[in-house]
Formats: sequence, structure tokens, C-alpha cells
Amino acid sequence: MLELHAVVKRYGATLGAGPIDLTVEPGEFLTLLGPSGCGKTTTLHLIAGLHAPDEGRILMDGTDLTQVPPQRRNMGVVFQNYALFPHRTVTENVAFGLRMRGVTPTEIASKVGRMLDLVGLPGTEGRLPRQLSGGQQQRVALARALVIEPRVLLLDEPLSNLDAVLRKRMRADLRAIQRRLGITAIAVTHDQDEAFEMSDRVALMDQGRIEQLSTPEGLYDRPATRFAAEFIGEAVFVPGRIGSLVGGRARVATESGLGFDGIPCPDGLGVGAAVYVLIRPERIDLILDDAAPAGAIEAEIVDRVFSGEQVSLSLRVAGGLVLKAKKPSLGRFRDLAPGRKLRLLAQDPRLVPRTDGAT
Amino acid sequence: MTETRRAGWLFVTPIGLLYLLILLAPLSYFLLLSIFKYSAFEMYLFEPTAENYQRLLFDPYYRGVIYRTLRIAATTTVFTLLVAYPLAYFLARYGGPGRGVLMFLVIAPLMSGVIVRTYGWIVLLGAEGTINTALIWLGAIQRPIQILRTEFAVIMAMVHILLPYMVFPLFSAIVAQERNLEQAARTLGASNLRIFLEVTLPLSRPGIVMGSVLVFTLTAGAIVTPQLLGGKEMKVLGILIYDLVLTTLNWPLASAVASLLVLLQFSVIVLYFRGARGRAAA
Repeated sequence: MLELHAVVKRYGATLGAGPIDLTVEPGEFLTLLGPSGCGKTTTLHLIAGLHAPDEGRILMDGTDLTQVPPQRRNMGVVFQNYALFPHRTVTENVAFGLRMRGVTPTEIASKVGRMLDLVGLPGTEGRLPRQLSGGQQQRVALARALVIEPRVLLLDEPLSNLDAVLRKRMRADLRAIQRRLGITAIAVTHDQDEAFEMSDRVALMDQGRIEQLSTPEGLYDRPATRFAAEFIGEAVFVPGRIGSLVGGRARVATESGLGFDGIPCPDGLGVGAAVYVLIRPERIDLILDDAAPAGAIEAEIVDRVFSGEQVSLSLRVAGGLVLKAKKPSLGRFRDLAPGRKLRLLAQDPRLVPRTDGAT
Repeated sequence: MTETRRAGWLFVTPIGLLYLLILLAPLSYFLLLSIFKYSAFEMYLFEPTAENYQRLLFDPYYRGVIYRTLRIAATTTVFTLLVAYPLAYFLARYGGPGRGVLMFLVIAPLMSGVIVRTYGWIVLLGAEGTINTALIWLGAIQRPIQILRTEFAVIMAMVHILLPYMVFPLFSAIVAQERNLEQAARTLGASNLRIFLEVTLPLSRPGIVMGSVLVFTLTAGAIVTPQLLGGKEMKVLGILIYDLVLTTLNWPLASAVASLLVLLQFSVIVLYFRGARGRAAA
């Protein structure tokens, strides 16, 4: 188990990351997700020991690692640009960490061979990094980090230099290898899809801090802040106030005059609290016939974008508010055109505290 | 031939013609002259002979000059490398303020002539020079010690004069290395020493090769500094050619010496680059 306790890193007067509290369970795949400059890479480097924290402690299975230099931490790091030794062959690159540990040549040979099989690179042993494709270099870097049997595998934007197709495949391969070895892994990425597809848990970071730490489902369904809701998926935020609260479910009146009832209310929000009602485009039901279920809102289509597998619709509702809806581009949704009037039902709206100005 | 290749040839044509004219032509001329017979009256006779080369390679005096030249060039190269590497490493890795000034200080000596810098060394090393005066004042020695007119003086001055030629290729080679190669080595368990020996130094090889070739060939062909700091007795190949051409007027022998010098320098270049390539492919 890896623990970070109130870890802070500053670069002169600017904050690099922190304060960060984080516990990573054994065998877990955790991703630090966030925009560039949010401190995710800094946090990874702190764990690797490449930076020393200004405050706080880093513990591994109860032992304090804070003062341990990187060469004695036994962390396997895969760098964004792979950082393969350009003057050494694939075998020599993978063998490097074992040689530093004084492993015997016969044992090195067998371990390197097994690891190259595992990452799917047999037959490249004698080649130099520059003779390999980007995807192959990535696999060498992974093999080099894994062969030392590290306590934690650290991946810094591991897939950002690969093309889209390769990236998809590598995500699955990375996850499969991590599961097979049962190793604890921490990855850094700015790509939400990547984070969701690979991870058991995702730590969403912003301005040096962990904004929300949750499973991918939890982050998507219950974003704690507007930042989290905006970073994960698409959303429309409708400002309003909590009118009443019954059994943990809120009734919200929005500033544009809409009413939403029965929204699960996050802890810490009471009657009168300023909130956003968060509506995801893929969770809007369109009612094209005369049915008028409770909560249905009158709307008019103002824009339509067709992108192959789906149609995106902009819908104007009362008070000039524009909501977005995404529908599979088939049947009755496909040919909806601007000007069409209909009713919509926002399924599963969520509440996010509104802290920007309104109280 | 494609468009771009034709354009490429066009670009190298002017420099190619210049080389042909000012380098290959004279080179062929003295190569040819070196196998003609010397004549005190007509300078040379159109009689092919090997005697110029025989004299050069078997006469103990000339052999001594060849050995001395090679010894000074090799020693200078080694010491320049030892002094330049830490400096280049620091310049490449130091990101703080004043780096531009430091770079300028390394180049600055190139802006004064070789003669000026050599005279500077005479001032320092002479019998009444700064070093001797200081040592006597400190009581370390009773009378001035001989520093001028020694190989030591020549080598020390050459190291100083040629330092920029070693620093810059080294700087380029070190600065071009990805910084996180060292980080990667560190996370894999390498100590600072291992990182230097296994990553930084091998990746500096192109700079070491280029700098060493420059310093070796420039030292082997040097005239002014060995002349002024080494004194009359300390002949090197460059001075030998100078004397033979202008004083003794033995152009065939001078041509043989020049040919030998060019051959030596060329061999060093080829060997060095061969070695560099061989290692890189291994």
C-alpha cells in the first residue's frame, strides 16, 4: 500500500502540487487525470523520488520513503518519451536495471527473455531503439520498468506519443499486463477515455490538488464540483437554488424558471444553497408524440449536427436556456430538424455546488 | 536524379570547386614534388626518387621530430579532453543566469590571435615571468626554473589555445542528450557514477571524437606556439616544413614532410571516426 500524507511540492514561489493525500491499494490501477499544469506529473515524480517534496511524507507498506533516493525506491517508471538508452539494444535496455542490481548474467537473460515475451516483443532483442516503431519502443520501456519487479509501476502519459489505433490497443494491453502481474500501477494522463478504460480509480486533479478521487463510474455519475463535471464528459449547467429537501432529494428552481424535482442531493447542501443542475446530453429523453409525463419540458430544436453514429441537438427551452441532447442517429431521431417543437425529459439530473460568486 | 538531389548538387558545387582549387591542386602538387630529386641549384630535378621519404623515416633526427610531434599532439588532446569535459558538462547542464557570459568566456580567446595568447604564456612562464617570480617570492625555489623551452610549456599553451575546439563539440553532444535518460537510469537503480559511465559518457562519444580530431590535427600542424614556447631545439613537423621551404629551400623534402603530416592527420581522423561508428553499431 502506497500512502501520500499532505505532500507538497513547490517550484520557488509557484505550487507544483499539493497538499496531496492519497492511498493506493495493492494491485490497484490508479490514474491521475487532469489538464496540463495540474500537478499530476509532479505527483508521479514525487512518488518516483525524482523530486523531493517540500512537505509531507510518502510511505510504502508502512516504511517512510520520503528521504529514499530514486535508485533505492524500486519503482518502475515509464517516461512519456520512453527515455530508452539510444546507444543500447533492446536487450541491454531491458537488462539495465537487473545489471544495476547485480543479477547474474544467466538470470538476466532468462528474465529479459520472459519479459519481452510478456510485452509482445520477441525477435527485437538486438535492435536499437531508433530501429523500432513508437509502439515497440513503448513496450521496451514497459519491459524495462517491469523486469526489476518494482513495488509500483509508474506511467507518465504512457500512450500520448502513439497514434489513435495503437493507443486503443495499448490501453487494453497495459491493463491486461498489469492484471496478470498483479502489480500496483499509477498512471498520469490528460485523456479521460484513457483514464476510464485503464483504471480502477481515477484521481481528478486541478491546480495541484486532487479534486475528486473515485471510480470512473462515480466520477461520471456524481461529480463533486463543476470542474469535475466539465472535465468528465459533456454537460450543461443550469444555475438554480435548492427550494426544498425531502429524504435526501431536492427540489430545485432554476433561474431560467424551470423546476426539477427529486434530484439526489450531495452531503453538505441545504435548502437555499446555490447549485448547478447538471444535465448530460446523452441522458435527455426526447418525446416526439403527445405524451406529457411529469417533469417534461417544452423545447424547440435550434441546431442539429450529424456526426455519423449520433446526432447532436441544441434545444431551446423556457427562459432562453439551451440544452444539448445526443441521440443515436437512427430512426426517428435521425431526421429531426431545427424548428421542430417537442418535449424533453432530463433523466438523472445531478446537483453540483455553485461556488462562483453566488451564495 | 530527382529535383531535390539536383538542387543539392548545385548547393555543394561552389564549395566543391573552391576545395578543388585551393586544396586538392596544391596537395597534388606537393605530393608530386615529394618524389622528385632535390637539387641545390635547380630546387628539384624531374627524377622520381624515394630518397626524400627514406631520409624522413630513417634519419634519427627526422624520426625524432615525427615522434615529438605525435607525442605533443596526443598529450595535448588527452589533457584538453580532461579539462574540457567538466567545463562542457557544466555549461550544458547549468541553466541559471550567466550561462551566456560563461559561453562567451569560452569563445573569447578565439577572438585574439594565437600569437597574442602565446606571448601571454611567455610572460607567465619566462625566467622572470609571473610564475617564477611568485615561486621565488614564496620561497619554494631559489632561482628560476626552466619552464619555457620545454614540451610541458608547449602542451600547456596548446591545451589553453585549443580548449574551445574541444568544449563546443562536447557541449553539443551533452546538451543533445535527453535529460530523463539520467532519470530513467536512476529509477532503474544506477548510482551517479554508473549513470555517468553508462549513459552520459557513451552518449558524449560524438563530441569526444570531433573535439579530439580537431585538437589533434591542429596541434600536429601547429607552428607558432611550439616555435615561441619550445625554443630553437624543439622542432615539430610544422616548423620543419617552414624551415625547409623558406630557409633550406629544399622543397622536395618539405613536400615529403607535408605529405607525411597530412597522411598522419588523415589517418587519425579515419581511425577515430571508424572507431566511433564501430562502437555505435555494436
